[in-house]
Amino acid sequence: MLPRMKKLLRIAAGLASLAPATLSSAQPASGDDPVTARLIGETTALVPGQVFHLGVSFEIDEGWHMYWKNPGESGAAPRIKLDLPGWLTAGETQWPTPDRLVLPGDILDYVHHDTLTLIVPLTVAQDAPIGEAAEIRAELWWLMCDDEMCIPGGAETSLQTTVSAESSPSPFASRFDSARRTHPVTPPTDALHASLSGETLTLVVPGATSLTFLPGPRPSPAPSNMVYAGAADADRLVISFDDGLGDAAAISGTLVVRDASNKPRFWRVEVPTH
Amino acid sequence: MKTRNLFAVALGALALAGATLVANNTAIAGDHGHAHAAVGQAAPTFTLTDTDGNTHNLADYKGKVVVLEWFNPQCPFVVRHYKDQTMINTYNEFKDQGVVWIAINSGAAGKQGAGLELNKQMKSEWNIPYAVALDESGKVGHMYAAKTTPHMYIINKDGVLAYAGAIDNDPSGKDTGATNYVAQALKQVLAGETVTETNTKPYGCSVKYAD
Repeated sequence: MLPRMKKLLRIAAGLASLAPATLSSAQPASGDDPVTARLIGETTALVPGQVFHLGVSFEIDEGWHMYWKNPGESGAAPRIKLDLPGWLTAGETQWPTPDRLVLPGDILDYVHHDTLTLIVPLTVAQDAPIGEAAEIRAELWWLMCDDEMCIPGGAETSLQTTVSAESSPSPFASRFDSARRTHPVTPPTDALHASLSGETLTLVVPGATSLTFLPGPRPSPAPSNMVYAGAADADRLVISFDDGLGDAAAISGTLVVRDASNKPRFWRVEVPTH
Repeated sequence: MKTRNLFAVALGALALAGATLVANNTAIAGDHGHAHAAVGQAAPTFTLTDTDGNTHNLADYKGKVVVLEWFNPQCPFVVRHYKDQTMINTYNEFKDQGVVWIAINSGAAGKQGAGLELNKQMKSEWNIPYAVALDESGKVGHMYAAKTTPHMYIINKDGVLAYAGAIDNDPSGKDTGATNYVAQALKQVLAGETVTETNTKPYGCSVKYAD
């Protein structure tokens, strides 16, 4: 009875954070929440004219998961709303490669376990005021689920730093390294053979023993039957788009490639549709 | 039960073995013993009991337009839509035109939002004017391949599935000008027009199936 009560209380706490207007507390999610969030910096200071890497770092309890930028058939990607000084410009958020999760009922989701560090590159303007303190603020919203339930989480959190002529790695630098290990990269020349015939995409990687395709979010078209077609212990994947390719310019996503060395590689897939 | 699970495992293993099975994916769709519902085809019939003890047989509603809403009163997405009155307002807009609305909870016993007492309580708390039916075995959910709560289906007067997908195009709940796909399709179905958007990507929590 008691764990059930605790869960319901958690839900109640979570629901409060669903309404943006009630997100007034500056407290980061903590304590009993299955996920805690904080902002971290890769380096100790903001250097004018350079890119500062901001990390939105989530610690996820065992048994729970959060969602990738394409959450799959259920769930929702975390959302970040940054409040930045005028001399900082945010670039595109960089996501690590998720895991496939097939739930009862053949529901396929793309999820993150344990830790999730989203990297946001912040370009520091040349005329940023050296010596001044700077506050980077973020309003975060996310959905976290375990096998039984989903609850929303949210936090308003901030990172205090300074503008300086130089910086050094922060104590959190290794988290950025870990996250980048699964960032997709451009495949080596001729390593990936991707062909689109009608509404069928074929991905071939000679020498691979296992392939997993993680389709990007819209505008990339949604593939069909990915529970079975999205991963194979083979050197090829054949993926159909029964709902058509729409007017998207390209099919995009991440391909996880394993070979005899069993060390996974993460490749960016971008196949033009015309 | 055991045999069926083994069968499913065997199918899964076969599918993993390579691309050759892709052409045979209709066999996989029968994984839970039913062909999945598809827009343009006859909607699978079912009988379910609601929280008031009434039974609903889809066949009894022939001649009416039926909306099925996959439901879980503790899923944050569902909670948001009941706070915003999305489903209830849509139902109220069309109820006088012979539209039957059934919320279906396919959550297995013990999972989030499942159970007769809770669903009875939430129907009353949220003043839900339509039936909330329980499908704890997940059988009906599997027949319709319901993935999320909410996940919406519209069945026309001839018993043919006319729409499957999201309630609207606003997963984050922040767009005041969202398109309500169900209202849009209901208007077209009732007017005898072609439904412009028949399949959309549903969003929400996963349906908490037993298997």
